[in-house]
Amino acid sequence: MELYDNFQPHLHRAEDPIPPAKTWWIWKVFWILLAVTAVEVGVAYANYELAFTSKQVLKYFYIGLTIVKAYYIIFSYMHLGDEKKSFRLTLGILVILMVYFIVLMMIEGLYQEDVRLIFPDYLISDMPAAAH
Amino acid sequence: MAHAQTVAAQKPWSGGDAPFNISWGKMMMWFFLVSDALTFSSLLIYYGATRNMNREFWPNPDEVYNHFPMVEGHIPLAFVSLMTFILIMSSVTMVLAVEAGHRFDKKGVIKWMIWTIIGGFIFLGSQAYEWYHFIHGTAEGKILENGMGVIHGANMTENEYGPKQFANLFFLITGFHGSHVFSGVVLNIIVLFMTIKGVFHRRGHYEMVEKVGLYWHFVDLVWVFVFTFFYLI
Repeated sequence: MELYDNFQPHLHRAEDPIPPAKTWWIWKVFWILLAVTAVEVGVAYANYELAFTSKQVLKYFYIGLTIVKAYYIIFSYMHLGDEKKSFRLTLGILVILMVYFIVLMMIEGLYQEDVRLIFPDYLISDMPAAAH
Repeated sequence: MAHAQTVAAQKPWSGGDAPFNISWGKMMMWFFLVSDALTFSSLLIYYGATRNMNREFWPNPDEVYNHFPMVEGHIPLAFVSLMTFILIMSSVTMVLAVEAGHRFDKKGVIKWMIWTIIGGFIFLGSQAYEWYHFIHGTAEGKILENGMGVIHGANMTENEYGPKQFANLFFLITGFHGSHVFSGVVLNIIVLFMTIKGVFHRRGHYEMVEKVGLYWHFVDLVWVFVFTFFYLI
């Protein structure tokens, strides 16, 4: 703790007057988040009625919009956009691990499905009782 | 002292300074959130992999989560959209509390923290409703594979919707998220009482509100992903 004792965030004195609130950016981001969610649900409902595209295409559409929402929450509400670039990179390296893990596990899942479809009793024959 | 400051200005990592220009507590909260994000992402990634393994058995979420309080019939996405709205709204009130803290506005912090806590409790109640309907299921249910009866809803070994893993992952991931919401509400209540007692006013800054705010936004962020992967896709 001693290392950081000379760093004082937003230090105020009790007798200072309270400045007026500046909240327009908070509400702007709120409307963006709400609009993106409304678009997601609206597209889902439109697709129930009209069936204009496959769920596979919609999947990537939803994931894209989710990343948009995540961007606004992290960079605006969590103030990561105001932090130093070195700190942003320190946290951002994690994203590389996540992308790698996502690609890996999705491919592995599809491969396991293939194994199950080609050898339907593969898992059963692995059990001691069935092995003879 | 002057000499120490020049040295620190030349070498930010030589000690005695905050190289990232944020305080110790806030940085540690970020590192905790990063590790928590890894936990949540591995759970969600396992959900995706399991779903890829069982694509022909996996239920359509629109046919599972389609209840709405006091409304007859099936309305997919409506209730979870409402839950998303509630959590985004409580995130907004949290940012407003942090903003009031920056201006040293004690009354504003108290007001917005109370709204945030109310939003958290409404969300937890909504999740209880969601779980109730998931566990109790439909009146028709599904005939068990061994023909020995009918299963309504879900438990840890059987469910009427699809593979066993479907219900187990639902309980695990939404439960883990719900426990995060609950601990977030507890932290918010603690900070609310500290604000009312004037602890931060005497300290000279409201950074603690910012730290629990970070945690609360993270919980909101996770829900955004849960909403997409459990209910939309």
